[in-house]
Amino acid sequence: MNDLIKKLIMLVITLLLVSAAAFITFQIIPGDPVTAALGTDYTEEAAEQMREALGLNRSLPERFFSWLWGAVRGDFGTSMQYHQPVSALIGDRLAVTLWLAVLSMLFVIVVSIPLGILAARFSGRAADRVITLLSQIAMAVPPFFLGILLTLVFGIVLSWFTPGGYVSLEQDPAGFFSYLIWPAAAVAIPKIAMTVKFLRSSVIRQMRLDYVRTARSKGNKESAVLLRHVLKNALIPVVTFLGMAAADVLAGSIIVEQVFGLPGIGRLLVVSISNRDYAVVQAIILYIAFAVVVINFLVDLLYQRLDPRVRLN
Amino acid sequence: MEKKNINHRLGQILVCAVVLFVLIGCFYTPYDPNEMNAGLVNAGPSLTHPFGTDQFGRDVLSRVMKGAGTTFFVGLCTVAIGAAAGILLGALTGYYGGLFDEILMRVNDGLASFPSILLALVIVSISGPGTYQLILALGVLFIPSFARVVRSEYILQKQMDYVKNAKLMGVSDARILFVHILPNTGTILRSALTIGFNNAVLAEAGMSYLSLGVQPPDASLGRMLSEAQSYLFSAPWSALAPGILIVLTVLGFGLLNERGE
Repeated sequence: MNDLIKKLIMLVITLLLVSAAAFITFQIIPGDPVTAALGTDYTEEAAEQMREALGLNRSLPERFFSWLWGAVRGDFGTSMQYHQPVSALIGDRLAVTLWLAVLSMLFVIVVSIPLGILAARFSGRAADRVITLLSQIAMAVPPFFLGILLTLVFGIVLSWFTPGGYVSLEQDPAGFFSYLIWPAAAVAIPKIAMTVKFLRSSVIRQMRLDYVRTARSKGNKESAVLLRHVLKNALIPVVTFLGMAAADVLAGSIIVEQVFGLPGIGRLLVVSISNRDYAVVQAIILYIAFAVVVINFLVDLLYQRLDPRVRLN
Repeated sequence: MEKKNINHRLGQILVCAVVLFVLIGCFYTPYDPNEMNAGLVNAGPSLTHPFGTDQFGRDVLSRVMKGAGTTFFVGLCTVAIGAAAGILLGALTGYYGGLFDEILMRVNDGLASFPSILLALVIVSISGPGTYQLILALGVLFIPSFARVVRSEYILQKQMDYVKNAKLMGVSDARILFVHILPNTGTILRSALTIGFNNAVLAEAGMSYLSLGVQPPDASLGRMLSEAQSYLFSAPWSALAPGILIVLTVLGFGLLNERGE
């Protein structure tokens, strides 16, 4: 319990540091956002008024804490590009990105664990070689090119889905998910390949240990040894790996959203970077950074649950 | 064991082929990569244009050769920046340890937990898009991974007899760090360099695909993919050619590393 409190305090400190970094980074940008926003309407008074309205004439720590306090309440200011509250802009798009990430992670877990076990079980034989070769190739394909390939093969040649035919979740849930399968596959496949490789070597490492020999000599079948004894131990490092993969999946979807024309926060981020709409960029970076920190925290907790040796230290 | 050798050999062949392709592209391309030809828009592969032409009638083969050159240039510069700074930091922190090491490694761990594409986006959103901005952004991002690898190697090496010996003989620290120890980190460094190069190629492609890296009309593999995507229906070859080249490059360097395992 004591340990958990210590970890929670560390979590809060990390989150504070991350938000300070996200804030300060965007203070050192050359160029004045007010001048940029006013453009040809620039006058000394108008600029002063706008600074007053945006609170830009206050000191740096003051602005940080008011920004942070706003962020806690879900208020990230107004987008200069869309003239809308940032939170409203993000709110609509967050669900799309989250669904994409969840679906991708689901694919990763469901596909890679059986494949990894299979490769390890038949290591050195045909099944293993095919899986290893395929995963080696899959790791070399960038997710967005995979997205283009999927669009080409399944969208254009086979017409299994309409490229760019995104419908929102509220409009048509079935259509939403059947379209989301493809971007999710594009994000997931390289991660599946990495996870398979990782799990395979993790299982093979475990197979050399003494307890496996004991389990075998007790007369267990090979598959029983693998599934009942080895798997539990082999999966522990994979959990950490999947935690890291979850962060990558979130970031990877930024590019893949662009390929499939999904209105998620990744696309909003890219558009906002091009338009120098810093309030939006800052908010999205903060969102993703928080997600990464929280995922790491949860993986850490899960890791302790699974491996008692870590808990003792 | 034998399988590893086959993979390694395959990697060598792929890397040689890709590097040769890029090197030729630096000096000779069949057509001017930026020359437009309104009479031959989105033409399919043929004898005169083996990879077809794109939406402006530009020869895709020439553009891929030139574009791969840009991508490799970004990759090499990135790795050079990352490796130079990373080796220096890793060597100093690994060899001396202490508070400086402690602080730097904490920062390192923190940075490592964030996806690098996210950090690259942050840097580019400040510096603005462009080839050199991208090189700088990626180069800085690659410092921690090199520093980490080199540091752990230096911690190992500094306990070896040959280092103690050199110290007793009064060799200066700088000489021990870079003349005695550095050559012994070769194997580890080589695989770090190839992995780094692969990541740089993938990052360049991703960033340029998002229009935040190499700017038009210059070709780079990621840039070409983003331009070709709108014409996927009528001219799939102009997306396939740069994409497949990325895959072959990354696969080649990846297989080259297999031997180390």
